[in-house]
Amino acid sequence: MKKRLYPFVAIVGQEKMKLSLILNVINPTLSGVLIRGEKGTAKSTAVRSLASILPEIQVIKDCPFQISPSDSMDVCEGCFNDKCRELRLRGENLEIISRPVNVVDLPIGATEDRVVGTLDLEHALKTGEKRVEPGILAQANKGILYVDEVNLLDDHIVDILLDAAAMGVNTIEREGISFSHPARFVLIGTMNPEEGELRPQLLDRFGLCVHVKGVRDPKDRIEIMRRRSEFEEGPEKFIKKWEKASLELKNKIQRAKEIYFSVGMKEDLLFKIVETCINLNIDGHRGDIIVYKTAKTLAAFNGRDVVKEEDVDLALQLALPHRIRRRPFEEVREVDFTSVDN
Amino acid sequence: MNFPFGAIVGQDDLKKAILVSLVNPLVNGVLIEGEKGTGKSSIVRSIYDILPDIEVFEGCLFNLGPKDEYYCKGCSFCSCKKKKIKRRPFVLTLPLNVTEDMVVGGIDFEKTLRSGMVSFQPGILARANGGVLYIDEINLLPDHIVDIILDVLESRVNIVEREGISVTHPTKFTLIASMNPEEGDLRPQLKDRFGLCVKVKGLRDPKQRVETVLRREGFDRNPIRFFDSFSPLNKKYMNQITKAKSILPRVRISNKLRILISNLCVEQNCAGHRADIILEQAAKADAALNFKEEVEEGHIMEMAPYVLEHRKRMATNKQEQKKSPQKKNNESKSRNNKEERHKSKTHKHKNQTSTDNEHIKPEMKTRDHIKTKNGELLEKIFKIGETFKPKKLLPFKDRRFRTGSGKRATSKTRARAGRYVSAKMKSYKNDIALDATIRAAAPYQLERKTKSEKNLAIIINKEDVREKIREKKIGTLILFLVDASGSMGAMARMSAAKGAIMSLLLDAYQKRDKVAMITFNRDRGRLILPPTNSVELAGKYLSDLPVGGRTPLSSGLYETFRFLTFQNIKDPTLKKIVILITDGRANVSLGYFDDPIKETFLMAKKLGSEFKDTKFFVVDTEKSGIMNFEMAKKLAYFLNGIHYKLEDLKAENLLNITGKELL
Repeated sequence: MKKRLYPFVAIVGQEKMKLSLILNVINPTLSGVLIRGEKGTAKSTAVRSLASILPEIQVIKDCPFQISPSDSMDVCEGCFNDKCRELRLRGENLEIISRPVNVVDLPIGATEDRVVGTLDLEHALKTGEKRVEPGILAQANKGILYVDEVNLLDDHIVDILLDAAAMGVNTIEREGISFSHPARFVLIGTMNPEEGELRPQLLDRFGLCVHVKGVRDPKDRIEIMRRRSEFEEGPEKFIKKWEKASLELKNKIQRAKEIYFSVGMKEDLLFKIVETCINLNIDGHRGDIIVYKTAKTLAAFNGRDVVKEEDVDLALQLALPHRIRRRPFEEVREVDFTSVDN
Repeated sequence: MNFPFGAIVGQDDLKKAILVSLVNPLVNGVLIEGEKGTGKSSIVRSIYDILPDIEVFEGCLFNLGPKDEYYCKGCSFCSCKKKKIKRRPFVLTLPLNVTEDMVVGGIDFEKTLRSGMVSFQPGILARANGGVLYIDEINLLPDHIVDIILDVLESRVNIVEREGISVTHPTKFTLIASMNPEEGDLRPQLKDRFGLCVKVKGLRDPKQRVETVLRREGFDRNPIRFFDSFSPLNKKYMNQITKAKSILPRVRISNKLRILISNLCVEQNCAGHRADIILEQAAKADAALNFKEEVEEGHIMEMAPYVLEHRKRMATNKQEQKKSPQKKNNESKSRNNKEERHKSKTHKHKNQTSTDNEHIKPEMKTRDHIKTKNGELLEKIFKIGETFKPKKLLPFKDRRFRTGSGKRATSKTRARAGRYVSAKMKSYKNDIALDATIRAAAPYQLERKTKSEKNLAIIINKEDVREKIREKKIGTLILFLVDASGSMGAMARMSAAKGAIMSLLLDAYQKRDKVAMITFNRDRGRLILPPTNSVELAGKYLSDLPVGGRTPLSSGLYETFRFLTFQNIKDPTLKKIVILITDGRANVSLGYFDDPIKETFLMAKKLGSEFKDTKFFVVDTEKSGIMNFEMAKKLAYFLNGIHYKLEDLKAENLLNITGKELL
């Protein structure tokens, strides 16, 4: 069953959230967004509707790991699908399909074997052979892994996510199965901070972080209600109405993807990034790298091939709030996301 | 395509340690400790490209080579023809989802089913032979798996006795593990077994950081070209390793230098002789890396920090003694500390306490007096008061839950939610470990099939059924509800209270309990520390906790209520303890009632009745004397909890009683 999704472009307000999602679509190496905010602020709607603006990728048909024809051969060595593997390693043509990247849901209650993959029980019982049954991480390769209420996720599932996210590879060593496959995904999480915090290690895995609040402006609120009821009454008609805007955004994203690598940055801006991170006492280098990439992606999204200072400033706002080391007590509420947001 | 080893900016300590461990696996592995995003994983992944080829017998299950021919006698597991081949060594990653049988090896059910002969499937330990085993986030791996690996690493022999298989095979690999101490520490006894330990920090030099960013971008843009531009450098490293490996067997060390090594180790008061042995091996490897056949003093001094740093059991002075060249200057200093360390040598548990006692000096001084014009104290921060030796605090919980997680059939769904680590016989709860079941049944298939008429792929009898042993992160969640109002500042009560909390924290850390902290002062209660395993973090919060303002006790209780509700949703099986430290003099209400005291009692009553499984302790900081309000006592009554005076808090009283009460 194909779900009819509310168009991304029809979401009112929440510009920062939308922007950060778009930036990740343009440049998946930004490695995700953490969306913090109260309930009912279009968090899930926005993530789910991303599918409507995602660029297409080329993949080998029926490959459970979303392998593209341009991927290196060694990822296919040791794959359990003998037929497909043989053909690929011999360099023969496989059927290629083009489709939008996956948006995979990781439910809170997911068990470990479903997430990493496990022994294919049916196959084992029927034939007595070992074969892996790919899990959610396989589906999410090259796509978006969406975790709603990420702060409620079981600790050991979080560990597994960290493991896979760090290496870009999911290694399965369980139940007689020894297998690994690429697992590079954009991690998108939503959370309500009232219900508890995330572990710092996991926080750091999210490239960007935005704080969403309910829209305050009565006019906008009315617009939200109006659009929502219009969508409920006639989803097809509503989607049609927004099709043009969706397509425009999609094209804009496509162009940004193309020019991303030609975007240049002046050295003084680069030093500004690095010095800001040092002054804020941010752990490690992921902060620097993400800010740099975000600024470049922003420039590309705006159709420029030079990074301006305003790009860097915005990138700092998007990429650093969750990386600032929280100092005890007093600072916890001072360095709240709202204050960094403003 | 990995980020090239040579392209990593800085981190020379880490590179050195890795090179040494690659040249000489006898140094027993490297533990990398460091904050997130410092390139720990990148550097380890890049190792593959600088590893020289290894020589093995083609098709050998255990990756044995010409050097291990001795073990091949009587080997019936593989049909290798002892044909020598050269191939790339493996860099294996041990994922966190690993099960025990995959680590040590077990029966290969596929082959066994096919042939009817028991067939061995080598585990990660066999596959890693001659290569590198990498464990990311080792502190998150189940303890018993870490135990197995470190055991084999050291003995260099893997003995498998399971599922009707008996195999002993040698294995020699370089273990590299990384961890972020923020996520909880590795047990000290496990840490001690790592030969080398490196602490990685982010670079501070802006130029280097800019270079890091640019190289990363260069790699992302065109990995192949970037990799190629660094391949001469990688090649250089590879040749250095190859040459060093060939020199290593010839490297000699004089007795004079052996004495130096043992003096260094005694000076640092390292337990046992492991440090001496490893330091010698590391120095030899360092000499070999410098193409020398004779160990020099410089090599030993160079390697000493890597070997001794994590063994010297010092909570303080880490920074000063980082590099060994200064070690001699520090000699007098370490002598001073020697006595204390000597005491702590015998027992681990004791050890930890004495170290920390040293760390947290028993003083009750205050600092940061913030005074207004009137000279009235606003907020101040008290130092952590005297910490005391926590006897075995709540030892039962840990044990009862951990082994019990498989046996207690409280709730099936709950019991089946943990991490599958191993399998055992007999099933009570329908949580069948199919892989283990098939393995158990595999050897009998040929026989059974001839008897059975049904045409099944596998015939499983009742006695084959195995059930999963699951492990869940359990332990206790201890919530400290701390009164940080001005009245707590009087008579340095806060200092004593902090001391008590710190003691509990240290114990909780070793028991792998989680701690959280809510404080209340001025206008409301605040969750200042969400549940964490990191005692470092909790200690930091605690020592910086300021005191001042009014007492919104009911708000603190309300926060506790919300906190417990949420924790109950998240994990109902988790045992929770709330320790409320207050004088009970509420004077700010939430606004439901005008009388803050009435409101507080009502809130307490609600808490007590709502969370019957949660234990409440009220530690009364009110000075016993002329004016006693006994508010805290009443509060304890309403909470259905237990009341103590601050005086009782000293020494081991509270902890012992806590333990008893909880049983």
